[in-house]
Amino acid sequence: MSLRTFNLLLAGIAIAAFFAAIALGATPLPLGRVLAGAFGAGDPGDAIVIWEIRAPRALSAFIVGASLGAAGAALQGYLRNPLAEPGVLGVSATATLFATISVYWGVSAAAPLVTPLAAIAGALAATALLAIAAARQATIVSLILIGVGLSSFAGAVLALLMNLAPNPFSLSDMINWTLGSVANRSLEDLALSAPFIIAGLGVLLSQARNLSALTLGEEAAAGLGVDLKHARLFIIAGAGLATGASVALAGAIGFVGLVAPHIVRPFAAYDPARTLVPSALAGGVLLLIADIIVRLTPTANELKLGVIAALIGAPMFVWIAARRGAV
Amino acid sequence: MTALSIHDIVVRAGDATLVDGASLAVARGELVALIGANGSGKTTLARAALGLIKTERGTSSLSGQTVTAMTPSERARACAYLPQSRTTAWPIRVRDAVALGRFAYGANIARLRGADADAVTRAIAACDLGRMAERSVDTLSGGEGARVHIARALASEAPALIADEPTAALDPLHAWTTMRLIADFVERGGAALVVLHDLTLAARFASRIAVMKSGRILIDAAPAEALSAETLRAAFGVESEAISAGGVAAPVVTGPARG
Repeated sequence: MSLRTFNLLLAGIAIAAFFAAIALGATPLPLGRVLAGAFGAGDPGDAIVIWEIRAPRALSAFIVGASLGAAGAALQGYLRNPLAEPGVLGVSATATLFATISVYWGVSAAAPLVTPLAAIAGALAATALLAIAAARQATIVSLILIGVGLSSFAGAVLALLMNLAPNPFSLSDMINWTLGSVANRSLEDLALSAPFIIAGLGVLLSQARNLSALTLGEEAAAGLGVDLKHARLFIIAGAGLATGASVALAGAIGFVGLVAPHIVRPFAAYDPARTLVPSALAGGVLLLIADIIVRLTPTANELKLGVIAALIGAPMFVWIAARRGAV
Repeated sequence: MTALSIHDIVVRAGDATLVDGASLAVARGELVALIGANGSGKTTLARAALGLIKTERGTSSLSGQTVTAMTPSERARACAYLPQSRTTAWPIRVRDAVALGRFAYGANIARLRGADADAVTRAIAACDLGRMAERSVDTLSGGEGARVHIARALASEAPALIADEPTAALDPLHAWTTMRLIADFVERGGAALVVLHDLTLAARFASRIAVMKSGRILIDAAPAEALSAETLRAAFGVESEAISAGGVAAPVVTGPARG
């Protein structure tokens, strides 16, 4: 299958899953009512369910998955490591921590932009730290270990904040952040994060050629004419923006950025540049489908998307790690 | 005009002086071998020539232009570089790996057009990679992999080439083939600076040999003179005898230096 066909297929699945997400739920809507409601022709109740609840939620799931998929593909390409991923490397955890701090001190209530900006700042700080570490000591193992350290530290500070939470409401708020969910997202929430996500994806796409060249290692890439400092800066900024804004929208959702590039790589001739777009599409589709499963599972407390992603993603991580060498 | 000219370069890292006032020039049609003991500064000099590391003193120019005044793309179009490490992080296709040689022209390896596509096709043919162009690089032997990297350098169509130990870890035939490809490039008017450890290959293929010791160029001369027993004793601390075979006199190391 050519890459173009594969991308079209993924886009088709994404559109089908999007309509399924709107049609399925506590009140199933047949396709006719979905279309009628979407264009204001049907029952006003349907229109509210579609526009206020299901569409923003499905769009959030897709956009978060797409930005994590693209950020994962870019980080893997840049670090030349199939295990690199915003979640594994502690980027998501640091972004979550920064976002939580902004929630904790109540600044987010005063200025809604503060939380996404805090999450992005956290993601940028973590990615920059990783890039500095990668430049000094480029072994795969040390990088993963730094990521584990970063995750653990962010987790520890988060635990401290929960420990000191002034009331049960802020505690449950923080738990929601760390578990990751797209439930009850509004079009306003989307509008707040979308510009940053789009900017991040744009920056990452602008680095596609550099990512291909980095396949040969930094030394050879520099020889090919890659401006390494420039590439590092832009890849960090792009991955940080995309991850941070997705955390601001949905909290910490791990492993999507690991699994999506892994699935699409054979269709992209293993070229990091060609992996970016299908990885974003696959990440979006994965989260969209995972969120449908979350909504349809009849549990007393609604399952959190991040929990499901981790339950599927963590074994995948171990499997990919064990098979390394085969890439 | 010299394709590659290094003048009085000094590189320091902390207290250590890695390159200590080295000068070297390579004209078109010349293959200059850079030899010297481990740690004598060959790789550092190669990187300094490309402006990839900070120099404390001295200048390097490619086709008459100072390397520090060039953008990375301009520099890559003036001189191809094959570093010592020949790793590829992902099992990309041979054709894509060669196409990366067109990076500095703004080529997209997924959609090669016009001059870029032609250059890649020529480089693949020159390095006899046609049969394996669609295979992934991780299916190749060490010798085939080395040819892919030479092909990448040729695809750039830069007038100069700096290759750091292109024959390392290759068997005699593949080492020969690799040097032959570089020599062909030089015969077509290219200028090549090749870091080598194999004295026989240096004697066979180089038009000139520069010998480095402790960051300095000890001697820069025709192969016979540069590979004399005295020079090799001073540069490497070994005794050697020159043996003539196939029209070339190459040194054979007989043991550590006496005294």
